[in-house]
Amino acid sequence: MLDGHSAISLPAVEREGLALREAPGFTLAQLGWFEKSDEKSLRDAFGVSVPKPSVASPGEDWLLMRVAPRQIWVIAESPNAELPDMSASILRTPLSSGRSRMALSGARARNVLSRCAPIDFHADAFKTGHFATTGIHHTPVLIHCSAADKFHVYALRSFARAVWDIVADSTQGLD
Amino acid sequence: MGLYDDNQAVLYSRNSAGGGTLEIIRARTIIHATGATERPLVFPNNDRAGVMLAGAVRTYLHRFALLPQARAVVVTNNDAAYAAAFDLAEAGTAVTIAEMRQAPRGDQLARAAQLGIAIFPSSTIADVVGDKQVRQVKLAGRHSVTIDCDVLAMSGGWSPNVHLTSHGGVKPTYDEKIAAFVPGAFASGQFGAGAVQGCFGLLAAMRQGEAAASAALQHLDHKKTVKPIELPAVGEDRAYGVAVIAHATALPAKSFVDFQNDVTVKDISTAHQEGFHSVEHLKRYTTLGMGTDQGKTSNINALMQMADLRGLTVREAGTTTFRPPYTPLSIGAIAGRSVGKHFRPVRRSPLHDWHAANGGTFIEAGLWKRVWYYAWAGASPEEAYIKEMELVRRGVGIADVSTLGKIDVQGPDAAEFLNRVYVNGFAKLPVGKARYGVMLNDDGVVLDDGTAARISDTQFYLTTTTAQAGEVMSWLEYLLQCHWTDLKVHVASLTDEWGGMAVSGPDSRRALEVAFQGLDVSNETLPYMGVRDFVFHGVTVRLLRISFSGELAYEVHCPAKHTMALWHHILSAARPLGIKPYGLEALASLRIEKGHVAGLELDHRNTLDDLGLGRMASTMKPFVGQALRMREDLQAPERWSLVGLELLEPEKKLRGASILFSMDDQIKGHGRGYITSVTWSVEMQKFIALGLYQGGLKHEGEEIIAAFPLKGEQTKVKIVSPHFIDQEGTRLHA
Repeated sequence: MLDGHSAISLPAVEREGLALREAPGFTLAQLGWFEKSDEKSLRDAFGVSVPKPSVASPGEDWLLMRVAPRQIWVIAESPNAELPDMSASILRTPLSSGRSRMALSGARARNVLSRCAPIDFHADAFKTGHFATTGIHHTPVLIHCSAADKFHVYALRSFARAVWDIVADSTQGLD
Repeated sequence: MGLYDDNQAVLYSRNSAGGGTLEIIRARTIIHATGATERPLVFPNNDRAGVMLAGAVRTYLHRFALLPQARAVVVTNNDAAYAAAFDLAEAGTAVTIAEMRQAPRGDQLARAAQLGIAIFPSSTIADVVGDKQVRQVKLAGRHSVTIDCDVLAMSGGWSPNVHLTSHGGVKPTYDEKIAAFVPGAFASGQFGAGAVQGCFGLLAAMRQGEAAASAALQHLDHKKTVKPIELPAVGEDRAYGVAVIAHATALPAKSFVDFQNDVTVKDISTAHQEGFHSVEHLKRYTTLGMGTDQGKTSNINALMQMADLRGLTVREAGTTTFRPPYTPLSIGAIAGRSVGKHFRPVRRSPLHDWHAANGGTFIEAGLWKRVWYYAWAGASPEEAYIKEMELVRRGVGIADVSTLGKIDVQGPDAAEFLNRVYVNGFAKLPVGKARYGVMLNDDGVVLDDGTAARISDTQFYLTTTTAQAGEVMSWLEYLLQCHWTDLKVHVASLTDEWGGMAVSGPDSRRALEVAFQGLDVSNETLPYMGVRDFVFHGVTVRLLRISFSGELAYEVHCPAKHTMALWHHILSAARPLGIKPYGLEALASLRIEKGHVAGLELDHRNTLDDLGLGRMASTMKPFVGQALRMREDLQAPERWSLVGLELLEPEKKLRGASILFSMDDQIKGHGRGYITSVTWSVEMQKFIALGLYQGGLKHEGEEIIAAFPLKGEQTKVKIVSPHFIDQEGTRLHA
């Protein structure tokens, strides 16, 4: 296979209670549909119902996030994962190349994100499994709380290094 | 400081150094207990030192232990000011009350008598005497007397502090009973208690607070009930008893309404005379209600006067919109932290690192960093772009076109959708073919151009200009979500998902043949405007035979993470053919020679006909902008429209943005058009340009003047076809 090239390619940032590192190695696709019956097909394919907005649903091998009324993102934790069989009427748009992913973790991760995006990142409000489509540095991002004090930030590939720079910069001066 | 969507409260705390910090709290529920602000009365010379609010007198007395020297007058239209009068009298001040209402209540009368306070009912202030401070007060009304005093305490009633309740867009409503605005409503999860709701009694406010707390807990799904609160042992609440009393005679000019901005009764009358009747216009014309006070003390008095001048009630006149900040704050508190070079985000192509490592000089194109020119071709752009153009015209070059907008359009109605969006037909575009398309705004002016390739019966791959990618994407989503909700179509931006490179020049086919051995890219298999997908080393590659340069050319697109490897591969494989990269300056110059319009011509002011594209518009189907493009002015024959221009004086230079004049014109003003794009032509060995000229190609062959006033230059140019090379399209179809 042709070599892949990261849009970030920067060393991890580590501070007390914080780590920011690139998190490649995923497959991302956007699925769209028009009919209610397609939602059954999606449930059969992924083993989980189409989720409500704002909270991700883990399926058998894929994580599902509703990003629009009739659109979801599906994410697998391996590169080049094949989508399961599903109704031909479900529209598929691969987005694995178009997004770069960074992982921010640690007890102070929420403080960093609070500096970056206009979202309530308090642990009571933005719990494990929650996600939000929002903006960092005037660019669109999706932020997902993948575990306690661990977050994935999906940035547009072309803006990824700029977003990384801002998030990395925001880890400074938290004391 | 402010309340925003979803109960986001922004708090400002001042620090001892004079600065302050902001805190953002996202509350699940909020109880408004913001109280009320006392408002002044409007009478002549009410700005004299010593004239102050009754509440201010109490604050001086109780918080700062300051007492007027000996004599005080209290003027009021409500019961609240009596507390100030009684406090002053108890502290030893001789107090007189000018009661604007007909009579005080019995218990107040009795208490006043106990304290030796004289009360003049149905009286108001006729004037304040005293230069640097108040010395005397002249009463008008039933008692026309003059009273010596050191301080005049006034109370015109209380205005609930409704500002925070309306930051979210809820308009306050006027309550006649208290002559003030109260919250129009509370946002979800918000409640109110006390004076903010126009409830001025202590016990009633506490009961409201209890009820609000219960409601808030219920909102939080709290199981516990609120324990009944213990009310303090005070007497029953007094009625507030405010009465709006109009001044008996016309107020003189120098009666202040807004003390902070020095807005007087006369200013409001002048605004009315000059037609600034709306409260919003009144505010902006007079500055009333601006400044740090934001109308907390002045609004009601001003609105009453304006309503009176207009013959309306205050409710009908309405109030201005309250916006954050509620209270003044330092600029330092709201300034973001310094981000240095990260002031705005940088957008990088998938090939950015290669360009940086291989002699690319970058130029900003919107947020993108694009390669302007490469070092292999020269040290300056003037030198380099000509060599890069020659490379494409005579051999083969490769350019990064990843910044082009790319949009996935899918669904059973995708063809119908594009048929409506583009001016030309797309319904019958065969699978495996691309078509150049132009879309209009609904006002009939050109929005953007690009290509749409049909990948399958239900899927298209659109390209847009780099500059308009975001706008086109938003436009398509808007049309689907608001106008054509019946169409079964999804759109997704692929601008970041796919990288792209243009392989251009007479040797481009040979370059692809050596790069993708075994792939048939012959004219028969992949003719001009043909499209095909193939898999190369496990990666889907999309090959589009389209040309911006006017040469035999292809665009090679693939997923962005593999674009670098594919670029490397093509450069390496086609090295024997002399392939080299070319940058944005050459790319833009090549298209001028070919006569393709681009961002400088697609500037949201030009029509299809202005750009020489009118014949593309279908007469067989409707499309966005079809009706309004036929407006008389947009069809006027003398509109500025696209022409080609050739420099006639070889010793001179042709400059972009030059103003065009006919030979007989005086060189002055905006002329008859201007140059949109200019370049040195490697084909014609002269400067050529595209421009917009009044009447356009009707003047083909005419010699005109291109003036560049900034440098005092004038040059002769000839109007020619904008297609300087290969008008028959032989190269494209080679």
